[in-house]
Amino acid sequence: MTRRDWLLLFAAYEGAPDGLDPIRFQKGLFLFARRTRVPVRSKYTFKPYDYGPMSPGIYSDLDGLVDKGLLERVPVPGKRWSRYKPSKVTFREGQRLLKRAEEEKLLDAARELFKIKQDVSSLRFNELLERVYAEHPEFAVNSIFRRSA
Amino acid sequence: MTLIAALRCRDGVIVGSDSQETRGARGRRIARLAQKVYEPRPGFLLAWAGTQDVAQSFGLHLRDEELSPSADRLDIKARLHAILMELRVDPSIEGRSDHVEFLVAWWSRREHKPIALHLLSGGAGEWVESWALGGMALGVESASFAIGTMRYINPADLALEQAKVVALKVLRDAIETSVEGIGGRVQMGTVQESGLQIVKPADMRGLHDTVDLWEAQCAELLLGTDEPPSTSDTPDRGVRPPN
Repeated sequence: MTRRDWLLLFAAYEGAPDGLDPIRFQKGLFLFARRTRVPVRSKYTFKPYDYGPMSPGIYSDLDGLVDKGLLERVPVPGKRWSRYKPSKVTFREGQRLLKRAEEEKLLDAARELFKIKQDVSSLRFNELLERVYAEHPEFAVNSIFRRSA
Repeated sequence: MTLIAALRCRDGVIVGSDSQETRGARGRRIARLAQKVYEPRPGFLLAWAGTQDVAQSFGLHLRDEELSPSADRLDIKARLHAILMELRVDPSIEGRSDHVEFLVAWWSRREHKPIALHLLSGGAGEWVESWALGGMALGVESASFAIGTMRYINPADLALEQAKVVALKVLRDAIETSVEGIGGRVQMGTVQESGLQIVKPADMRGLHDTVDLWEAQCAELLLGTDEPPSTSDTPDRGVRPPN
């Protein structure tokens, strides 16, 4: 499983049928990188950024998945960002990736990723940032957003 | 024309611009992308607005000039003026050199602080204390308005990372007013003690996400919180791993 496979599986999991914003992809894949023992090459590398951990590779892979028709970029009315929404193709690829994770004995990691997807999809922006900062304060050092008391 | 901006903060200077270059008469203009923020000479960050060939000539002259950020700022200012004056008497670009302005930033090793200079083709040069804007009058007006909506933020209190976000917000708000002649993505560079940096595209996306988050938090304060994605009514056909 490559890091892009995990990104696609994250998108294919249930929990956010209208798709996720880039910030939730960043935080979700960061938590996956920190909580699981998958090989290092299968994880994105993160740096502490203005809003916590950020990996430029996630942006380029999301673009690549859109270009290949595996994800849909949907503008959000009234907002400047787009959501990345899964489609039938995403779900089919997700099933295939789950089988592959099983073959590679990575089902525990796949389950953890599912749990993370449920978490990041059910939290508001502030709650999500607080969760990540509390769990990994070393990635909050450059955040420009003040933490709640 | 263009929109260029400089913001001097606690520990550095941000220089930014739009990325659109326009040619032709009003109503028949052609727009294309141009690099407007760059490092023409080690230690100096430059943003230009106005006629591209004149701006390019200025950049080339600056590149070839024996100029160091360690020099006295008044000497640097005098040299930059001299370059501009040389261009203005060049008969091949003389007419077009009336419509160009620059923002030049560097870290003064002598004064141990960031310096930014707003250089106008008429010969005037203004030191940048907090904000400086240049380019199309309507773009400058829009950007000034955007700055006015954030007058509760004192640039002198901002760290460089925070200032980048504020500068991006001003530039993208101004660009989104759709003033003819400015547009495209925001370009940005920074000057601080550790050196000069052109902000890479991936980092720009991160900065945009940060501004998006900032705006989302403002909206949450006023309107209450947006519901998280899991509360959607759309049927969820997503996959799940075996137990």
